[in-house]
Amino acid sequence: MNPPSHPRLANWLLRCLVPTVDREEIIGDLAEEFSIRIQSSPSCRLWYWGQTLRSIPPVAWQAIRQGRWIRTFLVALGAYIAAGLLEFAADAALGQTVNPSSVWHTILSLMIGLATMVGGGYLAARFRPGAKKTQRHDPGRRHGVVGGESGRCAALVWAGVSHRRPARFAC
Amino acid sequence: MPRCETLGSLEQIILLALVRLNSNAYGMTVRREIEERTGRNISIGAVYATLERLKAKGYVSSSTGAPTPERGGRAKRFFRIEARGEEALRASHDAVRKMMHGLKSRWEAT
Repeated sequence: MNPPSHPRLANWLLRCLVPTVDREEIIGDLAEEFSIRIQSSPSCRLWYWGQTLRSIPPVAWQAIRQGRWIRTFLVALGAYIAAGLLEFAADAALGQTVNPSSVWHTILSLMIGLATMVGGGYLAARFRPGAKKTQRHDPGRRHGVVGGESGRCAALVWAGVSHRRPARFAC
Repeated sequence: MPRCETLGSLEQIILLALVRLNSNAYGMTVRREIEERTGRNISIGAVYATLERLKAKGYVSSSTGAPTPERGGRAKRFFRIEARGEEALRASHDAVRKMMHGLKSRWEAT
């Protein structure tokens, strides 16, 4: 029989709520200690949950005190605005050149939305706090970062909104 | 003697754990060392938050180790006490020692 694995939901919570700088180390340390504890105590899933729930407040508070979340939020907001302005300009130019009621306008508008979504995500991931440091030490290890995810989410929302754009320009 | 910023009790304990563990000091070993020696069941998050604070003060430095399978392929982050950290620890210990001076009989009586 396979030994019980650590709670995935707890790991998911840690991924969502622990700032990037400590996230992988904390999850790795918990996984390592879990693998040691499981040999003597098969019911250490409770211990894992306890550690998870007690670990989130201090690291989150530490990140807030250091202003990391503020910088990350500002990067995501900047990427959102940059992507939005770019899309607005491209859509305006499209409205001038292509008939707003045509199918081509809808297709090109969608393509602009997707391109700005990718661009916004790239900007947020590229300029998020600690991006250069992460690339130097652990290339490709932390793609799922808060800044990148926020930027992508923001850009995704923007792209979703852009579906209504052709209709607006058509008026 | 240069004045050092006062260390909190958890900061002192964690710095002492780093001294004890020497080259094998990372989140899990620090947490276990404290639990085994003091009986305090602190969370790994509290350990990292304190280490980050000590790092910002220049008392500790960190380096990334190799990933291991039991950690799900995640790397360890090793911590090392710096000269400033040792100085702060010594100053903190001296302060406690001076305050305890003359109270030994009182502590032993209780």
